[in-house]
Amino acid sequence: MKPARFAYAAPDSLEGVLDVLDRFGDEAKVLSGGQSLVPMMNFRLARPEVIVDIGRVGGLDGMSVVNGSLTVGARVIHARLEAPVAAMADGRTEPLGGVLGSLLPEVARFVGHLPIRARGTFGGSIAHADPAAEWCILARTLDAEMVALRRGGERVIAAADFFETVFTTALEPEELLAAVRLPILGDDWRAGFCEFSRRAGDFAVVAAMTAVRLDRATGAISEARIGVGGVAGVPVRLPAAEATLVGEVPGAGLHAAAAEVAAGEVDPSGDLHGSAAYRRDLVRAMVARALAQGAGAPG
Amino acid sequence: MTEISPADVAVPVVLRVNGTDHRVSAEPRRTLADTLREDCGLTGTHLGCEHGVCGACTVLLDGEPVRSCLLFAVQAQGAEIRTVEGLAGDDGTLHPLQEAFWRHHGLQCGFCTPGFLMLSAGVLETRPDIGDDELREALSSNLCRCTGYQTIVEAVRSVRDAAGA
Amino acid sequence: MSWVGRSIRRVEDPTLLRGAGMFVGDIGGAAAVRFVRSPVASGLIGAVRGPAYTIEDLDADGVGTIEAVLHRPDYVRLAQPLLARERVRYVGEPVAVVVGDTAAEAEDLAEQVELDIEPLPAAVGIDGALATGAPLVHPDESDSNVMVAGEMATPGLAEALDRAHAVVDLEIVSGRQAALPLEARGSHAVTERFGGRTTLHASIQAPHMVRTVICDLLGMPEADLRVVAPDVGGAFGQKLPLAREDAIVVWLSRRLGRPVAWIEDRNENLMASWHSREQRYRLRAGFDAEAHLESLQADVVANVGAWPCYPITWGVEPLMALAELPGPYTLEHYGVRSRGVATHTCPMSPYRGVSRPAITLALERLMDVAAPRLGLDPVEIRRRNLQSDFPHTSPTGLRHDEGTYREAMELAVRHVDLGAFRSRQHAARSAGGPQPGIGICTFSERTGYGTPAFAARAMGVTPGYENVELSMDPSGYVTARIGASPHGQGLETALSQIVADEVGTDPGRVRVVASDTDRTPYGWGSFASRAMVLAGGATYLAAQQLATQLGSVAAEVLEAAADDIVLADGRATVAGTSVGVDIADLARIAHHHTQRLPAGAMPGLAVQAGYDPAGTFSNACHVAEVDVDPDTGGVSVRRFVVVEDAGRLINPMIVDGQIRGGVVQGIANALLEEIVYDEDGNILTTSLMDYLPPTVAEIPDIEILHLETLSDATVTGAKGVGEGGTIGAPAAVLNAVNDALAHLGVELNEMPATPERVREAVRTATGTPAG
Repeated sequence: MKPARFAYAAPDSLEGVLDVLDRFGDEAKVLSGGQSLVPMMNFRLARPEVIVDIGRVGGLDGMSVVNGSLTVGARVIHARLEAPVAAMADGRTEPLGGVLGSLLPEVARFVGHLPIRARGTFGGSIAHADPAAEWCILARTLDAEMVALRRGGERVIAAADFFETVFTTALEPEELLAAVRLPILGDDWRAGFCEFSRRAGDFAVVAAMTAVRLDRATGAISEARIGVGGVAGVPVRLPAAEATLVGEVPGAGLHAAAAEVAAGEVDPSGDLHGSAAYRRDLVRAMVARALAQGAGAPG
Repeated sequence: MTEISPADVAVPVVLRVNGTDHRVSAEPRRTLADTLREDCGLTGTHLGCEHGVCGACTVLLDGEPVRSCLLFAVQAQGAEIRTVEGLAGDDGTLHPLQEAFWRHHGLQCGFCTPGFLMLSAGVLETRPDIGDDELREALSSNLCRCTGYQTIVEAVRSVRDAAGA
Repeated sequence: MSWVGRSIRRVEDPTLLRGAGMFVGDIGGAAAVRFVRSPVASGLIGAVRGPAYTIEDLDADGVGTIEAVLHRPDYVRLAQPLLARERVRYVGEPVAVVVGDTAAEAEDLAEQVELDIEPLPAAVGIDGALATGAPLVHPDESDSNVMVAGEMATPGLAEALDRAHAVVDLEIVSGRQAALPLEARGSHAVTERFGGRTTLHASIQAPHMVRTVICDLLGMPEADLRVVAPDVGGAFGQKLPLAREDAIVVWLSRRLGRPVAWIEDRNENLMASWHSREQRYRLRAGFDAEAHLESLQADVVANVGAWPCYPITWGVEPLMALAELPGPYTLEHYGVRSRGVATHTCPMSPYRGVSRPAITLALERLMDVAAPRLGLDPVEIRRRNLQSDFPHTSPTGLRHDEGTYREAMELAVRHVDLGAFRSRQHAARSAGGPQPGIGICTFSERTGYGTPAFAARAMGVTPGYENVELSMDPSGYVTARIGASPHGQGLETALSQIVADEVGTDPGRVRVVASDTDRTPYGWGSFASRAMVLAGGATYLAAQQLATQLGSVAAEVLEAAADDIVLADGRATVAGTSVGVDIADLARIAHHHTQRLPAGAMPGLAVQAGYDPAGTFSNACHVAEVDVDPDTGGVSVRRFVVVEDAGRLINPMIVDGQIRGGVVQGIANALLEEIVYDEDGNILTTSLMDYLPPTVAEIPDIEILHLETLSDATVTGAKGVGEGGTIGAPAAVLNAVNDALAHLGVELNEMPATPERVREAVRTATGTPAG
């Protein structure tokens, strides 16, 4: 279990990274925290010709709040999202509050184990695109925007377009995922996250994230998002289940009804960790629990 | 133009381990774990899975516990690395965690022990007042096949409590 | 004060704590050996191209074949080549071997080797291998896949079943598990440039046996091979059989004249080391009106993989099941057919508990399934059936020495407060959510058996005895050279306590030398919960002899009768007086002033003893409390209680460590760990993300209580305890899972009880359609 040979570059500037990616295209692979890529290299399931280590590049590990979004630099390690601190528009740095500020730590504690969270990065997880990865589910559920850089250019990719299939994203070989923008959910939002894994720290068999917006006057749900991982090659949204929530007042009965629709809406295939039927059962349970959690969470 | 180290050439790497500089040469693909074990002669860092699950290879990198099987030696240049060999005092006095693992029977075959010691050292140094539940969660990072874990938890807890007393 | 019975700290630990242990991968200075392994389950080997050695090279050197033999008519005997010849029989079977300067380069080289293999259909599961027309694993040697079969019945079984008040039928399935020592296997061989003697360091449990078989294979005198087991990072049975890789490492070092090492990686270890426990039990049990288990008929099938293991053979699981199924219960009528079925899968070796986790699961599920049908609770049905007159002879002729089967259960039930638990359970059932359940398991553990027990198996090799050489040097320190080969259990510490008591010294003045064929007497190693009984017994007997020698020297020096000499606290004194001499001075005299010894006495202080008992049964009761989530099938173990009777406890801390570690492997067996193949024989669980050993987050603290029946079956009074935790825990957990869901009508008799299986059982019981 030793990796195949690769050439190695550790540029100290963003330009250097983009230059190497430009030169080597799909022969190159970006190394961020390495907690997903290196195991695959040790198994020789991944064998890049060139590794571009972005560990020496400054400016990729910031968190800042701009225009209602939290921008998370690609190299922000998971551990920092356990207690997110961001630069605000006025230049001050402070703990991130609000719904997103509560949600991120709730999700982060499910990401691997402590040593993994000390090395692994948010951007690395998103770019690796494991369909059961917590951050991918979060990005898809909240309609995050991925900021991709290439030599001489930048583009923003919507989460719906970003995740293409297992371990495959819309990033071009010469592009670097530089940051991810997450919407700051207003205090009229309620979010929940629930996952089922076999052991502490394992990838989820199925995980669900829910976010609902409540009409202040009626208490009814005006907007709903349900994202699920572990049921397809990418994290998926469940529009039919979302639709059952809109216009209704949250409650156990509604949650169960939405969860039932969710279970029918997914189309999982079975594997070692769970058959299709079992994954549907887990979708039902996880969606209901995430909704219940969100119902009780402080805004 | 960015410098690129060719795949099949060992490059000079300076690793600072337990306060001492080790000048070695390593192909880019050589992991930190293999470099510590084979080039620095520090075989206390063990390899149990080489895919980041078992934690036998845990070392401290700038104070944080990390899997040395998931890091390349070339990435670790400039960092402060600590391994199990650096835990005891210069006079050979065992570190409080080593004493506690001994007293509480926190090891049997001893293969996972260096990883658990470094994990625990990193956790207690950065979070000296960690709660019982969080400690258990942190210790779930590594695998032990012999002890059933209980005595490991008791050992680490006793060091935390003694330090806080 | 006695040293035996005290939880002194282990002498093994300081080195390991400093990271200064020497495991085989730490030796270094060797070229890297890498095996090229079959990517398919079954196939015919065509060409092998590339920089590799194959079976042809071994044949050209006259290397022999492995023959694991049981002398019985229903056993298929094979000659196993060290590398695959003509056919491959499982994914991971070694076909060729390469040598590189580093492990990474050896892996590069292995990738360059091209294997032309024509795939053939594979026999995978038990049913697949038994089916009519199933692909045969060894078509030239056998026209069926049944490799070993045993059958017996006591007279009157059929009549007893006919007249039974209640008949219970039950099918139990045990999934395939891997022992998973945290250090995978490995070996390192150096051949001296002049003289040609080879030293093999290997991560193994039985170095003397390994030396014998490798020398047989390579046609070399045993005197020319030294085998050392350095620090061994866990074994649990997986490092007991000969690894064919180890023999090839010796062959390569001799052929190439350079040091070579094979360090197994985790992928290889999961795919191609050894597996265990894939078994199916079909039971029919007859109970009388008072709920006594009168008759038991069993059909047992064990999937034994593609090859037998040496020297234990592929009888190990099926024949143990045959002999030991009646367990701790009184039972008059017993009939069994037990078969070992070959498949195109990784071979099987013993793993902690061997068949007994599955045997115990079968019997303990039987008790829990039968109890409500007989109007009893799980405690009462066991109370009526557990052995209580000793010695008890089982229907298969096993003699159970005195134990505390009932007492252990009663104590466990009191300790957990079953009544309070039932109230909590009742409340939870109306509240919904996670459902608590409690499960009891009582069992016996056959331990510490010597040659007679192994001889009864008619093995080609009969292990059994242990030898110990004990000497005191002129400084008064004792060295014990033992044939056993500890690997983390703390045997050195425990033996030093035994020696210290007998010789009147401090355990710190005792050194134990083990695991090196150059420095220890021939012995069998550490396995089968035997080392404390066997090596401990031999050490005890040797220490008594050494005490006698010291006593006679002291008698001469102190001018007293030898019978009046008391050895304690480092001194020899005349009983009832303060007249005495330091033992260290006696040691000096015995070596340097032999003119002062009694006439005819041998110079020096050295003795030797062997021990070869018939065996002894430990017993225990395990109680597990679980929470089961009916929606996800997730199970968490909330509490685990063990009442253990392992006879005299030499070092209670070490005993508790064995129990805890065993219980955790048992919980893993019950809930998490399973090796899975697809229908074509591809293994799906080759990483620790797919094969799931538990972390501390899945494991509760384990409460241990002791009973201490001093066995007359062993000289120390100690019984073996190494496997019990693993044997009892699966049944306790499965019974608890079933108890938690009993109100839904769930019956789940397969382990591991994965969340998916639990959920499926809930769905089936409640008539909920899939999805």
